[in-house]
Amino acid sequence: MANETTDVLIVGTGFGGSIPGYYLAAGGASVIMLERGPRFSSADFMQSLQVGTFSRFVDSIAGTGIDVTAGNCVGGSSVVYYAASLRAPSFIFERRGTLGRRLWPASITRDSLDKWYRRAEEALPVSELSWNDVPYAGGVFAAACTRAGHTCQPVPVAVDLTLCTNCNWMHTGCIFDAKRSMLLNYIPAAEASGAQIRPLCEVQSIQPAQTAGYRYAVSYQQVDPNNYSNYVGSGVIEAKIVIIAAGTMGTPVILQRSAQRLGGMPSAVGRYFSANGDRVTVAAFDDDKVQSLLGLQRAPGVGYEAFPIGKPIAAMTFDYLNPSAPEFSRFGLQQIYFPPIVNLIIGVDGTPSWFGVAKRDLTSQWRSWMTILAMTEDANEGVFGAPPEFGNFKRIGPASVGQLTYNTAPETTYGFDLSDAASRSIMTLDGLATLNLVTSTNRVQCAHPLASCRMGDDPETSALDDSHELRGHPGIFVTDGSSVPTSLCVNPSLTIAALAERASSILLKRAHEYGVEVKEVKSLPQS
Amino acid sequence: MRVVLVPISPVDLGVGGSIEPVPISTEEPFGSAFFYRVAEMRVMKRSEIDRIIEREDERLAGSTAIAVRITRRSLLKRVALLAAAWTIGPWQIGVPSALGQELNTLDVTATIEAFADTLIPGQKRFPGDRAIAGVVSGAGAVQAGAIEMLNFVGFEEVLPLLAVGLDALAVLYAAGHSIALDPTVPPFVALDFNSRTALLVEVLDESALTRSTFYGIAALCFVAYNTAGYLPTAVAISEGHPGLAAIGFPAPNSDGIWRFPEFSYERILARPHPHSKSGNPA
Ligand SMILES: Cc1cc2nc3c(=O)[nH]c(=O)nc-3n(C[C@H](O)[C@H](O)[C@H](O)COP(=O)(O)OP(=O)(O)OC[C@H]3O[C@@H](n4cnc5c(N)ncnc54)[C@H](O)[C@@H]3O)c2cc1C
Repeated sequence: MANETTDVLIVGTGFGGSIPGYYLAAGGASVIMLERGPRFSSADFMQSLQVGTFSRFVDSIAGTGIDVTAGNCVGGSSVVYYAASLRAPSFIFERRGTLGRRLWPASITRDSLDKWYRRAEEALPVSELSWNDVPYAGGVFAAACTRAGHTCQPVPVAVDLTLCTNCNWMHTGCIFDAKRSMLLNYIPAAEASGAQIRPLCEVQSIQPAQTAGYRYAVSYQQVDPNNYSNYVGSGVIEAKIVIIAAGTMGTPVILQRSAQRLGGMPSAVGRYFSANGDRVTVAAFDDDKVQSLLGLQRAPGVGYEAFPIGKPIAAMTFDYLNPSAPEFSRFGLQQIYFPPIVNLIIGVDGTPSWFGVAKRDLTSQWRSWMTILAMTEDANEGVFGAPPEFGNFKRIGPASVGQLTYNTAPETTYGFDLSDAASRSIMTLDGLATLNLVTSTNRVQCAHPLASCRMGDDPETSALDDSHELRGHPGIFVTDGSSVPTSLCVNPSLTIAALAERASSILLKRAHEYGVEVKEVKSLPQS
Repeated sequence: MRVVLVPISPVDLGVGGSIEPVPISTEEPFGSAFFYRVAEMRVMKRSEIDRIIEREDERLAGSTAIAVRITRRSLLKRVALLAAAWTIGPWQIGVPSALGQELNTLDVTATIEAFADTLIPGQKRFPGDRAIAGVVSGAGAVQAGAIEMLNFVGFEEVLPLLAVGLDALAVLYAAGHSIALDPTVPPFVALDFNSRTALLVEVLDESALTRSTFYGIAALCFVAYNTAGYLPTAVAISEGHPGLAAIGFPAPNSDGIWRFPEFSYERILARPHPHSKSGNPA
């Protein structure tokens, strides 16, 4: 039997998959999008921390030295993300890392990316927050920054403020359709233009096609919706153009597994992984000091005690993003909400450092907590080992175990130390709060995986050229977080979206080279 | 009378390995040393384990130290069981049911409860409660449903194995610290709160070989207390889940949905960075 064929086959439906999916379908190409996870909508999401509910669409993947959280559903990580939508600072694009030479392609700078940032901001769309939209936690963060002599501003978010209830349940999928995930913009627009989305199809590998006129054959397994380790069928689709956007944790694994059949892979595939320098600490506030030092009251006698209220990210200081400061010393510092699943890892002084009576006492102050996320400049030190037989990682009982090893480099540790010191100096001033580190584990906690199949100008240290095309494999493009060359000092989704916007315009221009005729697409997805 | 455990000589298990549980050198975290040796052993059959225990009984016959005998006997049995299961791989499979049935369910529950209570302590449930040390007032992980949580994720099968491991470690700890263990309760339960804590600090240390086995269980105890992860959150709150109450997790609206119409100080609380534009860095 002949294989199914399509002009464009896309793997993954996050930012990296949905955006080119829309443009290519709107341009007139036939598009099939294969997604490993299930398809859910706001009607299916639940405000619940019950194990087995949110875990149906988000994975926590244990590597060596690192834990990574990533989405597993139509819409990808955008379904569970916190919607902070920031442009990366200009200096990021000039970073040289530990290699001592420019890591981003020369053609990509903040200036050149700004027009794509603008498109993504319009399409999502992104809302600028006024101080009236900033929840209590962001307010306390801002006031603490001010008191310590720092600046601070509201963070732009991809949220419809008219629908947002400030419920603080973004991590389990927004039930109000206020959060502008891919489910509300690019995906419906892609489908309206004829793109087909097939959930529960896990791509395993790519090989040369058999059918004349088609370049690649993509094999996938159909996943049992009740047990993701179980396969209930399989298929092969041949395509003229293949776009891999299985996310930073998925893309390199599929490519590594395909290396032999495709006749080799650039050595940067599965190397140079960046955790975006993510570093988490917790400030636990003395509520009397919130009132007396910051002059804040949200009710009579109550200063803050509002950790679980609001949008999860709303305030940030850019004071440590000095372009002339040396590399690895710069970071963005942001207020963020972590649901109490994370209470396990937070530490107290003394021994034991993360359990026992003192920890229980700290936890009883949970409403006075504020998680702080520093996004530092890491050293791209993550490396993927050999891929498992199937899937992106092994599901063993309740755990997901991946092949990624992240041995924190001295440069990264330096950034962590500086950001910890900055958080401490702001939050503990005059006893306002205590600063608590993650002590139950030395593992890096990452929700912003990047760079495992990065682009660049140097073929030795980059897997993609500046058009996102996989070196040595014409017609295979990578457009997700794995293509971002370095950590960003801000949350990465808007940069992934802007790069995918840019890549889509390149794809539309070049599709004919691969036998796919498309027209220009200027309009943004209508929502 | 205080019975002090005497250091026992290396025990030849006759199955391609020996264990040397005590005395423990202070330089070497005994958890690692112990598990290292155990991990080297191959799977033992029930009959082999029985034979070893019989041999030990014979050797100890005539000894006046009854408590020592009981503890050594149970130590051997438990270590052997643990070795058998560990070799197979702690997360890959449950305890073979034949081995699981060997253990008293009440002992297993008490040992796991004592573990959970060491992580997030609570008050005793009743005057003679031995599993809970009772070092604080209010609920701890046990009251918050640690056992329900472990069962919810399907760990019933591995709990006997984990209890066996913890109790073996507790016996070693007691021996190393000249602590007399009450033979009427499982060894980990027999330890006082400070000893339980000191032992778990070693067992859960990131460098210990015991870490990977017990950290997952510890995590689930935290999930039980901090999130009521075995229940829909709104249901847990309406049932008065003690962990969610203790951390101050807010209640939803009357329809079971969370919304916070009051959420902001509605004040300008900082000046923006001079080079920022529309909320973005330059
Ligand atoms: C809890 C959380 C909060 C976050 N908050 C923010 C935030 O506030 N701001 C921000 O900028 N970023 C945030 N992020 C990060 C952001 O969500 C991601 O960087 C971004 O969504 C990644 O997009 P992507 O397209 O690269 O990958 P993903 O969105 O992860 O998409 C990859 C898709 O591919 C699918 N897939 C994987 N393997 C296969 C396969 N073999 N076959 C088929 N399909 C496959 C996956 O299931 C997934 O749907 C957050 C992330 C998390 C987890």
